[in-house]
Amino acid sequence: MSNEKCVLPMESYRLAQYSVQVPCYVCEGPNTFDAELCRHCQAPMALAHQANTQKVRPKMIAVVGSAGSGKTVYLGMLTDMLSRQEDGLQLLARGAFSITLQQNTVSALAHCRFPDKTPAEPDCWHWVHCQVRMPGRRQPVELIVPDMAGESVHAEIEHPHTYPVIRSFAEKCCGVIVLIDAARINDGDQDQDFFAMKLLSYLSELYGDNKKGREKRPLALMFTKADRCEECFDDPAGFAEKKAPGMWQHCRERFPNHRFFAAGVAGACATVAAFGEGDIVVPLRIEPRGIVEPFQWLLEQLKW
Amino acid sequence: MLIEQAIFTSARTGRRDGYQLVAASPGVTEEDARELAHWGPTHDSLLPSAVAAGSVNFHALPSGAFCASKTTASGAEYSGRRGKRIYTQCLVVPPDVLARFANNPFRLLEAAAASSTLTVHREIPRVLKPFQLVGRSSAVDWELLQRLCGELGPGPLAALVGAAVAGTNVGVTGHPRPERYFAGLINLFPIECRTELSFSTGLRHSQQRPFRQIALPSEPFARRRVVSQAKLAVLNLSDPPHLPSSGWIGLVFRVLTRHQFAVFCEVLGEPRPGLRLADLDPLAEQLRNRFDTFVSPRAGDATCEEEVPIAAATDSPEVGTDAPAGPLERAHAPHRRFAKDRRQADPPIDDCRPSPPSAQLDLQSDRLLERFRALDSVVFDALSGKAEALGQLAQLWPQLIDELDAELVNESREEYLRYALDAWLARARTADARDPQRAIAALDVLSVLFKDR
Repeated sequence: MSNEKCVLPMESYRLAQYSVQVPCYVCEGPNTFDAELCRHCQAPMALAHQANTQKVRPKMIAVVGSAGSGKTVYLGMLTDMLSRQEDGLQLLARGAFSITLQQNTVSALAHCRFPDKTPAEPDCWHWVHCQVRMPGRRQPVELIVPDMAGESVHAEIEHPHTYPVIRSFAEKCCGVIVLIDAARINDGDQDQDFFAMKLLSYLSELYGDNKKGREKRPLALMFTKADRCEECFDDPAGFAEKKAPGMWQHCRERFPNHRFFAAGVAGACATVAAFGEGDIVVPLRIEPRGIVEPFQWLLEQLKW
Repeated sequence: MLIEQAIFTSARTGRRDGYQLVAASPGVTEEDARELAHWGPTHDSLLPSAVAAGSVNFHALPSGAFCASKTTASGAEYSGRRGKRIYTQCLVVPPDVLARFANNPFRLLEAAAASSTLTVHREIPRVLKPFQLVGRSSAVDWELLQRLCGELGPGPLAALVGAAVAGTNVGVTGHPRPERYFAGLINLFPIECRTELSFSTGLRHSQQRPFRQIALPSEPFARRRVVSQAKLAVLNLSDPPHLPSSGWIGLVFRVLTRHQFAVFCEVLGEPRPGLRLADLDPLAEQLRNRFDTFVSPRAGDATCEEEVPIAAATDSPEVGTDAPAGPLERAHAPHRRFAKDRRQADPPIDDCRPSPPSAQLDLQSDRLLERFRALDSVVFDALSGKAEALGQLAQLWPQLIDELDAELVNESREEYLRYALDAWLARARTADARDPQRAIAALDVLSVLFKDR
């Protein structure tokens, strides 16, 4: 007969884990250890768990724009392109959830359609946590980039604190990429200019007038769908000054570290009448242009 | 008082693009408008099972009013992307108006739809008009409860009540048409408590919309994901948990099992200002005597299991799965010495009468009450297939309606229609097969009652 000890943990001990709160990486609100989403801002708690295992805290980059400006397509295409590069800028996703955005975008484009609209509810957004290697830098940088819905950004701008996740993220991010629909601006639609002005005002209020560091935050302003107006590719800054003077002026005054870019994904688009869904815009071919440059410039402005 | 309205959908307006409060009537306050925008469902918010039927939603607003809304997948997304546009028409209802409809959002929305105010606008106007909604509804929708009892049984309905009383957020699954059981759920609470029950019959779960009760996706993986993300308690109507025999849940279970609807309707119709969900269990104990003294047509076939509370999702994703089985009551067969007496004492099937119309109508005089009571017996005999009773009915009914005003005639017809349906359902549950002769008898009776319409 053997005298082996058997250690059986008490059932009540399993509840002890709930006494330790895990702060959300974005808003730092307390959550239980098994929470999937932050109960304050609905950011995924996987970001906090992953960050806790790393020596260097991940940096955050905000990609914002009005509804329909192309955030989902841009981020999906960017992550797909960088994840396939063998030299130069390289991206490696962390966590399976970080690949969902890339997968959805590439799959949609492969089926000759654009990805579906991003829901406004933060718990439906796709987040990318990735490691980026740059030539000339010894250490890679950890980045977190969410695909936020344009309506939510607009709602937060008009009524601050409506979406705590946007506010917290914008406060903590080290760089911002603002997407502006070049096709609409070229058609004379001033809403994009007004949206950009509101966004820049919101960001400058958020960052305050501290001259010591805040205004040096890099700001990349990217004209999307520039394949529909080629002059945008030739001189993005000139295009901004001519077509979106309000935004151009705001950048000059409040964000000295800014730069304009132009990008496009679909070489040409067509409109298809789908039964029960109305007219749907579909890409006829995929020709990514100017996708990596804004991101690369932003990273070059960062110090790590 | 006027009902304000607002529309939340996806559009390109001068203010912004995408999902927004596109239009509102002038009386919607700024605070309520922001709350409506916060709760507003956006792209792909409808469960796949609700895309065709839409979703009925109900929640409170900061101003003290309530939002009863209908969400549908209607029209194309303006931006040229795939997926239907999610269109939500919100009615901002003052408490007084909702109280006229017994605090039942379903009845309110039915009335709004009937008055053509609940429509999907092809061209959404910038400013909507508030409107007045006439009508009212009774405290309890008899027909609905009867049908749900027949479809689901008393157990799942009582379990749904228990989930609502428990106070945790609950995801409900196990029925293809969740809007029906949510509509039934409302009828099982006192009127004053109903405004605490926020629910959505077809929207996906989101922390932006903390409804107390929602329908879960039918797909198992999606359902598990929602439950784990949202820490919902799950109630499976096809496998309800064991129910306590005390408290409001126990009372509801008894009422549904013993068909004590008449007393239940009377009890729910009594005003109790300030009553909250937390007060229901003590109220149930106070009311128990009233239900005990009511002689139900069929008793003793309900069993209340050992009490098992509805667990939160942190304890177990499924509710009540660990509860031991074991009835507390079991009707034993009588000793053979008394079997004959028992057979004589048991009410025969034909005497299993539902609550008579004379008890439901608001009759001002005793003479009218006596005449309606006599009519009740004649109608019931005619429903049982007795030809002479049908002849008597054909003589009595025209004489009676000559003395009544139009409103009471319509109300009487409605009650006798309900009576005929109740009798049919009661008989259908006890018999192995449904007798077509009974159906014909019921049609004959209704033909007499509705003859001059």
